[in-house]
Amino acid sequence: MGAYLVRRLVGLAITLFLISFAVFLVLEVIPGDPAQIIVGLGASPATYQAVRAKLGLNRPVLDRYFTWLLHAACGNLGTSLQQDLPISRIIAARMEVTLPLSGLAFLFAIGFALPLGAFTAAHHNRWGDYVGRLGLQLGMIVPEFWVGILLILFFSVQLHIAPAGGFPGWSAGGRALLALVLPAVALSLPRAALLGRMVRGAVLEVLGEDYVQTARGKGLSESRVLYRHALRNALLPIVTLSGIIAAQLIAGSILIENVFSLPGVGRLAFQAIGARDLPLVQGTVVVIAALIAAVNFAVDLTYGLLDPRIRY
Amino acid sequence: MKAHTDLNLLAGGGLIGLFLIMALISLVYTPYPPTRQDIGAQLAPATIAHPLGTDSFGRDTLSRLMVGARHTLTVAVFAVAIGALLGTGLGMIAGWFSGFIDDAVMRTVDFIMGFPILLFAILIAAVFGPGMRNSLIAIGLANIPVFARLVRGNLLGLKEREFVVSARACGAGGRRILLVHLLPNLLSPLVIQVTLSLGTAILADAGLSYLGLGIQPPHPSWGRMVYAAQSFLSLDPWLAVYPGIAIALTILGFNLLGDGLRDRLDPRRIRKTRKARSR
Repeated sequence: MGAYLVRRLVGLAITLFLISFAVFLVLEVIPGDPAQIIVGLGASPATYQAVRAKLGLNRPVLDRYFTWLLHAACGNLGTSLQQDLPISRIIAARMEVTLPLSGLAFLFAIGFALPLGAFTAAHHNRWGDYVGRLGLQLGMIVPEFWVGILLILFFSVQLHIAPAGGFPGWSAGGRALLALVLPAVALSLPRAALLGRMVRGAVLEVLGEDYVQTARGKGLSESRVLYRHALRNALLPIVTLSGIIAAQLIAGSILIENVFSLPGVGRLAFQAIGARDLPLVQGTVVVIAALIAAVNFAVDLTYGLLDPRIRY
Repeated sequence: MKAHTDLNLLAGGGLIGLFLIMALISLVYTPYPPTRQDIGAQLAPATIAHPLGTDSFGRDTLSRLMVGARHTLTVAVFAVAIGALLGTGLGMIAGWFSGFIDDAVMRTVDFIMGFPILLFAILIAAVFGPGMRNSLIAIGLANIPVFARLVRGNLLGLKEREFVVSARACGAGGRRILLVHLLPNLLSPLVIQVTLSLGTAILADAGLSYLGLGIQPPHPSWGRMVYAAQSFLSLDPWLAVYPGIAIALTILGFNLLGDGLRDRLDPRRIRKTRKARSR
């Protein structure tokens, strides 16, 4: 396990290096002079030179990249051109929304998918299965931002029981959590559908195994057989997909944060493009991609915990 | 099984055919010009003159949906074509040359796979500005891994088969074997994957246009129509519902078509069906 951990850590470090380098290179190929794009054509030469110096454009590309990487490794992602604040501090503040939102959506996705997938498998080729599968198919085809808008329409515009958007800050306690519920549901539904299909397939496969027959033969109730014996052994492929889903949730939050006007990292990345704040675009994209790589790393490590047969 | 397959093909083909016809008709005819504003008829309900009503600028929703179908399908088709061509090429290189080249290509593909489409699109928009071409590039790039992995996986099994050994014995070169002997054998899985990828491309395009990273106003796109309707939810909720249904139905069409084609073309499934029938 120790050697495996080291190998995966090295892999993670290489991935992070490649991500940051790729993002740096992409932003480097911007046609024209980034400083000129940022200040506009009407700016004075002094302003233009100041921005050029701030971006470090008078130094060679690799020199700038490695300086950035060195600073980034120490948690310094540079300064936002528009807000004139450290990028790491801006991102950390926005993470207070994005991380709980993604976490809540992940819980919802698991909460919808596990029982629904197991239920449809247990009712294979019966009405419960058909209705459940229809629900799963629906979840796969509806865009998350549209689900978000339908939820706003129903729960905010018609029933007035949830806010239509915005985030009051964690000091507001329950109201802050409530502001994240609809976005998390919208974010989770397409993933729950994908996961639900996987759970259904995995449970169906396991339900034919001998030990399930044995459990039934011992006189255990069907729900106990399903949840304690079948579902538990169907978990491994589900965990693999959960990792992909967790990564998708972080990326999907860019859309949902915009639908619900939530001040998260996804919305920040989007706003940074509008403001042509390239260091901020670079910082947010690298942080989101790094977060996704870290989630995949964590998922890899959980395999061994779930399946004792896996040895590293 | 066969009836189920045919139903999938029929329903999927029917839905896609409907939107394709709508898109093609929009080239020569729409009830109103999609960008023409009628200030006197803002947010008008469905009438005979405007079967799906009008938006906040008094533009005809049906006309905009028709032109939106054309834009969406164009982006999806070209993006998937980019992904399929580059992905197939990379997959063939990786599958044919094992060892270092295979490793290098597949690690690059894995790297692209770990990078979400939205982040691609944001980066591309940061570099070139938002627009239809750029969302097409982002979705196209994001589609490369799935094709590369599919082709490589199939090629690894195929290249050891007798017909490849015979072709080699007859003196055929690597390029000839790949293009003349192996590529036709990869067509079935590729056709299935293209169909399924078109669905995901439409979903991605809708998301990007919702964010304003796709085709730019005043040209209509389904995603942007949903965005524009969001401000008028309490006044006219249908404005947000129509384009959402159009997106969902098109994706459903491609998914059903893909499932139907898989049942028809995937040799493993055909073999299973035949076995089941002979019992």
